[in-house]
Order: sequence, then C-alpha cells, then structure tokens
Amino acid sequence: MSSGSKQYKAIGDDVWKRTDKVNAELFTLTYGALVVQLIKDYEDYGEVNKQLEKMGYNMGTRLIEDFLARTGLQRCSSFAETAEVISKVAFKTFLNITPTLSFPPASAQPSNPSLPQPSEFILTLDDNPLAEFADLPRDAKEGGLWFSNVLCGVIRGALEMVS
Amino acid sequence: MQSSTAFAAPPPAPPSIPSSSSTSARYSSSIGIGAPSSAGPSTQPRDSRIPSSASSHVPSLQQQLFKGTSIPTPSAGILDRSLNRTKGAEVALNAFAFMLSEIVSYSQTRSDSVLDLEKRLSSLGYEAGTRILSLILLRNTQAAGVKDPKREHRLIPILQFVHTHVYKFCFGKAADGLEKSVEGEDEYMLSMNQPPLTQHISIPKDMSQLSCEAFTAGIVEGVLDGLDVPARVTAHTVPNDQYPQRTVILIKLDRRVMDREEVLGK
Repeated sequence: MSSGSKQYKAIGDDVWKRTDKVNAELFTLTYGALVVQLIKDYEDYGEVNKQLEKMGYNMGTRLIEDFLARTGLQRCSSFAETAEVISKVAFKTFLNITPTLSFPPASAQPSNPSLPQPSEFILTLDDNPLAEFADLPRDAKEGGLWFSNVLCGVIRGALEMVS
Repeated sequence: MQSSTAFAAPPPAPPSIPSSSSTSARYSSSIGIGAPSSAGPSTQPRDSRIPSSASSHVPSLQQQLFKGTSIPTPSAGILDRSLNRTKGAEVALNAFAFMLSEIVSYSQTRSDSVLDLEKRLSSLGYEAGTRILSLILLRNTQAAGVKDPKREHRLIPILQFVHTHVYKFCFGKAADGLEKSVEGEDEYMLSMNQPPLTQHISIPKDMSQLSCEAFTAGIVEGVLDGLDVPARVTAHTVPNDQYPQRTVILIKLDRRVMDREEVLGK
C-alpha cells in the first residue's frame, strides 16, 4: 500500500509540474464571488448547496477526461486505490494540495455485504484553496451553507464517469 | 521582524477593506508573545500600546499567528493569518477553466441576452477585483515599509498599475498594451494578445458579440473603482492576424475623473 501511495504521489507531482498554472488567489476570489452571486440569486443556503453540487458535477464529468488524458492512469482495482488516486493525484494536479485520506472504522459503515470493503473514505483538506480568504458570517454558518460543496460534486461527477 | 497584516474577504458581505489592516502593522512588536489568551474575538487591538496584561481577553495578532500560544477559533482565524501565506500559490489552469466554464453556463441560464450575460460576468469580476486590489495594496505596503505606504492617485500611474501589477497578479504577466483611444479623451484601452483565462472558450456564432473576458473587465472595473476612478469597463475581442483571441479592455472613464485630472494637472 505504501509503495503504491508513494508512486501516486510521484505521478501527482510529475503531472503538476507539467500543467499550466494560474494564480490561486484569483481562483479563490473568483469562487468566492460565484458563491456570493449564488446566494444572491437563490436566497436559500440549501438551494445554493444544491446548485454548487450540480456545478461541481458538471465540472467533474468533463474534468475526468482531462485527468485521464494527463495522467494515463489505468482503472483502479479497488476502492481504496481510488481513494489514493483522488487524494494524491487528482487533488494534486488540479489544486496542488493533497488532502489527508482516512477510512472510517468498519463498524461505522452500514453493513452492506454487496459492497466491497472499504466502501467509504474521508478526505480531509488541510489547505482549502477555495476557502482561503473566506470567513462565513454567522447566519451562513447557521443556515447551513457548505462553502466548498462544489468539490463534492466534482468527485461525484468524475467517479460516475469512470463508474 | 516583519509585521503582519490581516486580510479577509467574507464572501456574502459587501466588499470591504478591513479597517484594521491599514494600521495593523503598528501593533508589531509591543505586545508580548506567549501570554495566555482566551478564545479569540474577531476584533483586534486598536492601540499598539496595550500592555500585555490587557491582552488576556484580546489576543494579539502574534499570539494567534504563532501556533501553540493559542488556538484561534475558526471564526477568528482568518483575520489573523499571515497575509503572505498564500502568496505565489497556484492552481492548475484547467481547474480555473472548468470553473469559469461553469460560471459562464450558469450565468447564461440566468440571463436572457448577451448583454445581460456580460453584465453578470463583469459583476463577478468586480467582486474579485475589489478584493484583489486590497490584497495587492496591502502587500505593497508591507513590502515598501510602513513609513512609506504608497497609493497612486493620478490617472496615468493608476492605469499603469492596472496594466502591470494587477495583470501580473492575475495572469502572471503584464498586459500587452496600454493605449489611449484616439476617439475620446476619456477612453483607454488595455490589450492582451492571448487572454489565458478564456483561451479554452469558443463563442458560438449566434453570440459573436459575447466576450467572456467581460470577467476580466469586471476585475479592472473593481480595481479602478477601489482607487476612486469610476469607469465603465467593457471587453471586446479584436482579433488580428497573429492573435485570433486578442482582447481589448476598453476603459471609459467617468466625467468626474477627467475633471479631477484637469484640476490636479494644473
């Protein structure tokens, strides 16, 4: 496992070196402006979350193609491997971060024998380039705005495309 | 040691330069490090000469910056982080391109005409632009030293500032040209031969009026407005043989600016 994860890290670093880049702060501020715009348009945090997820999904379905073309990775054999790839290669190549990967304890999972173990994983973002300058006001926090919900959509869309 | 300044752009709030930022450099050295502090309120000490005993309820910037002396609550954390933490950080251009494409398509569903769409894009850019301005100015102040903060007030230096600094910040290089329009006294043009943000966007034929660089125009407008140079900024694709995507940002200055320039020029 550890040699595999090192290998993915190397792939991620390598691809990152070859990509064109843009200022992360511009990216952050643009995303912030987008979220503000969505809040103005929908006036409901739940709807904003949904819309962000949808936009993420749209991105993910197209982003996966770009990702596969750049990395040339083969199909993942296990879900754990998928998790490694997302954390070490995908996040690295697009956002230059490597979220910490953890698996919830087996007891916490709903017992579904048809799913191979592990069937869940958690990505913890230590640095979030989307929310670098963002400080949610209290009503947004209490209203349940998920600021970086777009990432969930991206992952869902991308994974769906490779089933 | 270098003083630290704080910056925040809380998205759902109206754009603002944190009032503490311009003066925060003054609280650099007089407050002791390591005094125990309770959970941080988001206000910062106004007076640099607060004795360290008084900071038991108002944690100093340094206490919050140096991890271990206190743990800022999540809500207080952002103002107290180092300004340069993300300086030079980068994300992949394609990540930005994907986001911009979603922004454009979302804006399109929400608008009924090309003009409306451009307006929406530009207002997004405006939001980003005002924040970019305060970020750049704060960093410049920090770099130039507290004693000699600099902020342009004349038109030409301001335009050069946009041409060089703002473009460099956003796109990694200065704009390719800054010209004065021959048609109007109050019109200036910023041109970019290959705008990096929208290079992956192709405009359908029936929307040939559209230029997604309206977003960049919004950034420029936000920056100019922040420097008290209100202007109407629009983007136009003006291809030439060499650069099919060459884009010109047209800046039409407010009458007020021209009047002021006239007075200042005397």
